[in-house]
Amino acid sequence: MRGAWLLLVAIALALASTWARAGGDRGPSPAVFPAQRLPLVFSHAQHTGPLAIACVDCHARALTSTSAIDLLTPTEQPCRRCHAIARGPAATAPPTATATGACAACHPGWTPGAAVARVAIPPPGLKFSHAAHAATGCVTCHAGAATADLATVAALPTMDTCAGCHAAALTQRACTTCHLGTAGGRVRTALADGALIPRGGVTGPDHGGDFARDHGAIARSAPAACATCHQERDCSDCHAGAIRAMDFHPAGYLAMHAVDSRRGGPDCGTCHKTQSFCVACHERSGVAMRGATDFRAGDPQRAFHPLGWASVDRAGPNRHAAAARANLAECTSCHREDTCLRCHTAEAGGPRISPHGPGWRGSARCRALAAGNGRMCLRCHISLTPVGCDG
Amino acid sequence: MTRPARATCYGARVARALAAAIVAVALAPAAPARAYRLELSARTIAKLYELPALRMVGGDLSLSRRQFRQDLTVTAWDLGDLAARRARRQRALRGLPDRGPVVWVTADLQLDHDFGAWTMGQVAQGADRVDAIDAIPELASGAVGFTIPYAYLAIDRLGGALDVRLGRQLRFDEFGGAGLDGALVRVHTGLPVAVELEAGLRVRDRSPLAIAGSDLDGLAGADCREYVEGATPGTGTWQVIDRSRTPRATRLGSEGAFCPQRDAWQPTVEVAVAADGVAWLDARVAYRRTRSRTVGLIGAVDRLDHPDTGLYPDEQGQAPAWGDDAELVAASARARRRVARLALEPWAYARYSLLHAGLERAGAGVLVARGAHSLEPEVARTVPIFDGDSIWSVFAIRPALDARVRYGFRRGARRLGALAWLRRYDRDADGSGLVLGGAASAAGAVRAIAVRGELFADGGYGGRRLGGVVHGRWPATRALDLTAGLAAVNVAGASPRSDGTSVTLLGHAAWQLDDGIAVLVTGEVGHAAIAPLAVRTLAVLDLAFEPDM
Repeated sequence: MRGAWLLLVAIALALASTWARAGGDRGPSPAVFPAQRLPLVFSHAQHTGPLAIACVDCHARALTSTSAIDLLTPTEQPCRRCHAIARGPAATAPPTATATGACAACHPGWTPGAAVARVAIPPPGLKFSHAAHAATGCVTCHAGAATADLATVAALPTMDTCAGCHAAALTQRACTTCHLGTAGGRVRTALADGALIPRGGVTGPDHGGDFARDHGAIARSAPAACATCHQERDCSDCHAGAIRAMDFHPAGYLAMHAVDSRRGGPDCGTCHKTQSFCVACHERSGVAMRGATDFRAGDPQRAFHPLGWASVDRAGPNRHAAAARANLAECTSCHREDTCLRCHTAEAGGPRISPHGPGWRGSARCRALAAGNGRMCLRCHISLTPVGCDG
Repeated sequence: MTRPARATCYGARVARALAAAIVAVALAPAAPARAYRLELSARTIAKLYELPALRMVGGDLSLSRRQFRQDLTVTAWDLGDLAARRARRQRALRGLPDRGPVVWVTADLQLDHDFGAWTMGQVAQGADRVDAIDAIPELASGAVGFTIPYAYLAIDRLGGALDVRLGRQLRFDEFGGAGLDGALVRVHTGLPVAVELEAGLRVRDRSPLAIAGSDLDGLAGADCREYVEGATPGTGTWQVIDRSRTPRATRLGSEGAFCPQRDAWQPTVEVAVAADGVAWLDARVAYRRTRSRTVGLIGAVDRLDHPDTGLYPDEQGQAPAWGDDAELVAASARARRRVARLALEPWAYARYSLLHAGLERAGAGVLVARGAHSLEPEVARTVPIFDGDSIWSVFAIRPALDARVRYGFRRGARRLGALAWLRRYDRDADGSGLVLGGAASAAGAVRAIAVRGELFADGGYGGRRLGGVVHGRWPATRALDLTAGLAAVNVAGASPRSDGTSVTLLGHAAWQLDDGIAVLVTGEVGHAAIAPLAVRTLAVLDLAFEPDM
C-alpha cells in the first residue's frame, strides 16, 4: 500500500514537472497551411532592417489580392532592381554582377546545367483578402517575418491573430467567413492536407484522444458550437447505431459492457434505451426472464441471481430491493414492468408489496406524479377508493 | 365517462397529411429553376456477425446478424438563390458575414433490414417455438425499417433575427437525444440571448418512419396490458391484450407489439433561453413538456362481455384525459476564460424533472489547459427516471454519485491520456456499491504508422475488468489506409459464464476509389469464455459528392 502511494506521488510529480515546462503557441495549423518547400536563401531581416525595404516593394500583389490562393511571393523582377542576376555560366555573367547576383547565392546547391529546385507553397485552406486588409500593417499578421531569414509557415497567422481584431466574428460564429464552407454552410473540415480539428483551449474542445467518449458534456452545453462543423448525421451515425467509431466500443466489447454500464460516463442511455435495446438483446440472447433461457430461478446450479434474491412471501434476504434502489436502471435492462408487477401491485389477491419506500405519502414526488400522470397510478390502484398522497 | 373509439390510426392520419402536402406542392405554380448547391451522400452498409446466446446446458449457440443498411443524406442549400444573389450584389464587400435569409432543406433516409437468425429466427416459449419478433416486440424495428431520422426545411436569419425549422428534427441537447415533428423558431433578440420556441409531436418508436429507440425510456418495453372490468366496478384486473383480435397485425410486425398507449401522439412544447453571440459563454435554460392523451376504447379488441370503460380503469371517470410523459427543466453552461497562461472552461448542467419532483442529474467540472496539457475534474449525481406511464417512476430509488478526473497531453501526433473514475451507489448498510477504475492511453507515430494503446482496469460492484487495446494505422498509399488492432480483456466476478479472458483481433481497410467514393471493410475475430469463436465483418460503400448545379 505504501508503495502504491509512492508510485502515485511520483507520477503526480512527473506530470507537474512536464506541466511546468509546457506552454506556448503551437503555431499555424498544418491542415490550413500545408507544409511548404522553400529551397532558397533569403533574409527578410536584412532587407527590412538595415536596408529598410518595405514589404510591398517586393510583395506588390499583396495590395490587390482578394483570394488566399493567390501566390504572393515575388518573382525575380523585384530582385533585379538591386541585384544584377547572373544567368548562365560565370564566364557569361554581366559585368555588373556581384556575389549576391550569382544563381547559387539564392538557390543553394544549384549547379550549372541542373534544374533549379522549385518553390512549393500549397494554397491555404482559407478565404482571405489581402486587399481588404491593405490598411493593416503586414507585421500585424506576419509578426515573425520581418526578423526572420526565410519567411516560413511559422510566420503565418494563427486564429488568435485574427481574433485580435475580429473578435466579433468568433462571437457570431461566422466561421465560413474565413474557413472554407460546405454546401450546408458548415465549416469544411476535410482538407487536402489533413482534417481541420479544434485543438482545445479557448478556441474549442480538443477532439483527439478520448473526445469521442467524453464529448457529452460539451455537446449538451454548447450544441451551437458543434453545429458549426457537424450536421445531424454525424450524430445519428453513432447514436442511432449505424456505425460506431472503431475505438468507441473496442473489439471484444461484449465481454466488458456489463461493467462499463456501471461506469456512468459515457451514459449508455444516450444511444441505447434500456427498454428497447438492452431488454431486446438480453431476451434474445437468453439473459432475461422471457424468451428462451437456460437460467432457472431457485435452482442453485442455474440461477442468475443468488438464492433468496426475491421472493413473493418475503422469505430470505430479498437483496433485490437494495439493488433496485441503488441501481434500478440495471434491473430494467433485463426485466419488464410485468416482472415487478407480480408482487408490487395493489390489486386484490396480489402480494400488495409497496414499491414506494418510506415517506412516500405526503411526498412532493407522489403529488407531482399523481397530478402529472394518473394513468400510472391506475396500473396498481384500481379500486374505486381514491388513494391520494396525503396522510 | 367513456371516450370515443379511435377513428383512425396515427399512421393513416400522417399519410393523409403527407399526401395533401405532395398535392399542394404539385399544384403550386411553376417557377424558373434557380442555381443552388446540392450535397448528396449515400452509404451502403453490410454487417455480418454472430452473437452468443447463453446456455447453461448443452452446446453453445450463436445467432447470426445479417444487417443491411442503405443511407442517403440530401442537403439543398440556398434555395431561391438568395445568398448567391446577395454575394454577387455585395461583391465589393466580400468577406462580410451573410446576414440572410438563407433557405435550405436537408433530409436523411435509411433503409434497414436484418435477415439473420437474430430477428428472423424463433425462440422457445415453454413447449412451443414462436417467431422471435412475436415474442420480443423490439426486434421488429430491426428486422426491417424505412426511417427518416430528420427531414426539414430551414430558413436562417429571416428578417435578420429569426431561424426557422419545419419538419422532423433530430436533437441532442440537455434533454438527451430526441426527434420532433414540428416547428422550431429561434429569435435572435439583438441582446446576448436568443429565445427558442419549439412545438410539435415527439417522434416515438411507433411514429411513422421513426428511428427505433427514440422513445422516452421506460415505456417501449412495457408489457402491453388492458384493464378488464370485473363483475362489479373496481374489481377488474389487468390482462394481456387479446392479440388474436389485434387490429394491426402485420406480417413484418410483432403480434406482441400492440400497445395502444405507445401509439398515442405526444404533443411536445419546449421553450428555451440561450446565450447568443457571447464568445466566451454557452448557456441554455430550457423547459420541455411531453404529454399524451389517455387511450380509451381500442376497437374490436375491447369487445368484452360487459360494459368496457377503455384501456384503463375508468368506472367512475378516474382515468385522466391526458397524462404527462415527461416534464423537465434543464440548464447548462460552459464558459471559456483565459487566466494568465491557463485556459479555463468551467461547465455545469442540471436537469430537474417536474413530473418526478426531483433532480434527475446534475454535474459540474472544469477543463484546465496549459499548453499541451489539460486536466478536467468533474462530479455528477444521477437518478434514473422513466416515462410518466412507467410504474418504475414510483419506485424508491437513490442517486448515484460519480467523480472523474481526466488528464490529457498533446504535442503533434503524440498524445497521452489518463482517466480515473469512481461511482458510488447508495446501498443502505451494504457498502458494496462502490465502483472505481481508471485508464491510461498513449498515441504516437512509429515511422508512417500511427499507434494508439490503452490500458484499463475497473472493478468493485458487479465484476472486475482488466485489459488493454492497441491499434496501428498505416496509410499504405494515398488511397488505402490499413488498420490492425488487438484487444485483450480479463473479466472476473461478473458471472460464471462470462468470467475469463477474451482476445480479439481486428483488421480494417479504407480504400478511396475516387473523389467521394470509398470502400471500408472491417473484420474481427475473437475468443472469449462466452463465445469461443466470434467473427464479425462489416463493409461500407461510402458515396459522397457535391455536384455543381
